[in-house]
Amino acid sequence: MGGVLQALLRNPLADPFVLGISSGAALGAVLAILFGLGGGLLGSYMVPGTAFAAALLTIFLVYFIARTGGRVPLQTMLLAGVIVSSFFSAIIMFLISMTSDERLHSVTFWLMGSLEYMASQNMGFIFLFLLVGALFLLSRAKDFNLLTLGEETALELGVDVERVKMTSFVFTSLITGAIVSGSGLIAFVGLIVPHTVRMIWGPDHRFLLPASMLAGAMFLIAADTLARTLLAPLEIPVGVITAITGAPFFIYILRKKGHAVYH
Amino acid sequence: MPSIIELASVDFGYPGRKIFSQLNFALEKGEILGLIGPNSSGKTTLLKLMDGLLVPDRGRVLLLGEDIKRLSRSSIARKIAVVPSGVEVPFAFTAGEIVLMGRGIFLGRFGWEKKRDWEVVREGMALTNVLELENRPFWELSQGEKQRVLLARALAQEPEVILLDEPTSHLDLNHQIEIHERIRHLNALRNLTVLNISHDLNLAAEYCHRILMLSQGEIFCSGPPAQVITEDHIRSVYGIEVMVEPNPISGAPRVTPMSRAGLVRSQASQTVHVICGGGSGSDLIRRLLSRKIRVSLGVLNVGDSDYLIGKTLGLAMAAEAPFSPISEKAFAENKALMARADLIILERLYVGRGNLGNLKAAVEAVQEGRRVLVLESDPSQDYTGGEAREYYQRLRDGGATFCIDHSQILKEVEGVPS
Repeated sequence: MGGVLQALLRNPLADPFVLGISSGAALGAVLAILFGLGGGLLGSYMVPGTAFAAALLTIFLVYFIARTGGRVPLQTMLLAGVIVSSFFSAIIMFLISMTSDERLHSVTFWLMGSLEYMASQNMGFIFLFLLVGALFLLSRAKDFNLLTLGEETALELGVDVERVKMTSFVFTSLITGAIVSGSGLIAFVGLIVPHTVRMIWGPDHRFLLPASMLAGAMFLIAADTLARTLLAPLEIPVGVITAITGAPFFIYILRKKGHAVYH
Repeated sequence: MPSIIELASVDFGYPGRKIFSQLNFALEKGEILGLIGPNSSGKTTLLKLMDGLLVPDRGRVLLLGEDIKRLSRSSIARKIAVVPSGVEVPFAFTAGEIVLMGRGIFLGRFGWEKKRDWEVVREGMALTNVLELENRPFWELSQGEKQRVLLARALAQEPEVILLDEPTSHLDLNHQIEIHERIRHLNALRNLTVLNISHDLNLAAEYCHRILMLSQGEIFCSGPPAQVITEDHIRSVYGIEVMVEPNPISGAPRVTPMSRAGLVRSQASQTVHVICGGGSGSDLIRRLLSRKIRVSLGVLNVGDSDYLIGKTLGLAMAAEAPFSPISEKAFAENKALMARADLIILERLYVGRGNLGNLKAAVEAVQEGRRVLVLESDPSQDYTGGEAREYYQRLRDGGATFCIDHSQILKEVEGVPS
């Protein structure tokens, strides 16, 4: 998802965290856990469901904060996202500080990200959103290429910019919401995978998007395997593994090829 | 000629600032139109109205007869391509990929290009001479190369009209000429309509069929370059003094700015009368004017090169009919100008019987006690059989200051208190 947002926002640091989507989903999940919606018959649906809904609400909130006179300037959107994200993080920290019982463990583990809660009955639901979202975003890949040249140029080259932005943000949120609802916040994947793929394959989104999707999945499975086996029977949160292995690899790639990709 | 883009009674303004009011204008099929005017006269705003990026507050913009508001961005991009004055690309796209982006409107659902798309891309790149840059990263290219790649991208859109927003403002002279030559070639080859915003009046005059001069959101005038680019128009619109003369090779008007000479009229501290002729005065006149000194000239024959300079600069002159000896009337005019001057300079002259009157006037001035500077004459310039030499002797006897060159003259001039 980072790949799409980096194109839309013309900013190499963009990922679902920056726009507040991830924090929104996290807040939804934390609320659901703390208010005890995790138990009972519908429990396994409630936490992901709330996270998903919160992610969508967040992107609409950010979008409408940033909207002025029928347009959504990207810089404003980015700022709005960062602010909303910080605000939600603060609320999450407040909620955590007020919590002392065993629910704290669920909350923390969820925030660090884990594939543990990925209940098999939710897989179909998540997969459906991923499929629809991915197909839509792939169909917009050429527009993302044009958008990296700036909105005005994209307009001149025939892209209906506002519509592409609006729909892409919605579909990005759908996907992010679906993923985060299942796995919690797994940091870093959305940021470094598209960058790494771009450095190896070049910036053409028609390659970049499908390649990032595959590479991201592979990276996560590898990280999860490490997380389960490294200190078995203890399980390390998978977000820790992605960050610890991903960061040095990313630095290596950046040092080696970065100068030819960014300027 | 049918119009490609037409603005009908367009009003437009940014919040708090009105730009256009009741603007009417049409870009005709197959022409190269140059859009000129000072900063903030509305050139770029007009361009953005023409390609629908800005929407008029009132009135309509018609693209081939259809209201541009009702057209989608992709149908506009099939007709109009824009070449910006520069572009930043955050990722490492190659030049070829940048040009291919011009084909965006023609690509299918998942955006993959066909063989024909690459054919059009390569054709455009060949026309703008950037084929060999195809696999180089765009950001690595020089400004001139980038600009040609952007022109190729515009061609890849297969448009009917190209709008150029100062396409050559960052470029060296050779690249400026090259881009303009390419555009003219494309215009002739494909009947491509071109609108070119330009800061360079000389290039605009040279390469455009028609020039439109904007001034504070109004069309000041429009027409063939020779009718639009004139000293009067430039003075009114840009507020500076220029000299406009035909380019000796192409015949297009050529503009030489003379901003300092323009200042002289209001601020001159002293007046100097120069007796000259046959081009002898041009260097001295320029140097006097650049020192903010008011200059008058006499007696000059109409058509003489010093006369033309004086006329262009709007200097006060005593003039005589071409190839005629100095008449009493012209002699008197000359004396009148001399009377108003703080000092008088006699330039080195070719002297014949016709202009002996100029020497006579100088002698009379010396005898009246006026300060006269005389440039040492060359005996070979005397065509009077010795009469001129006598006048020079009388100048010397009368107390005129003889100088050997212009530098010495200027030192003498600056020594005179105003």
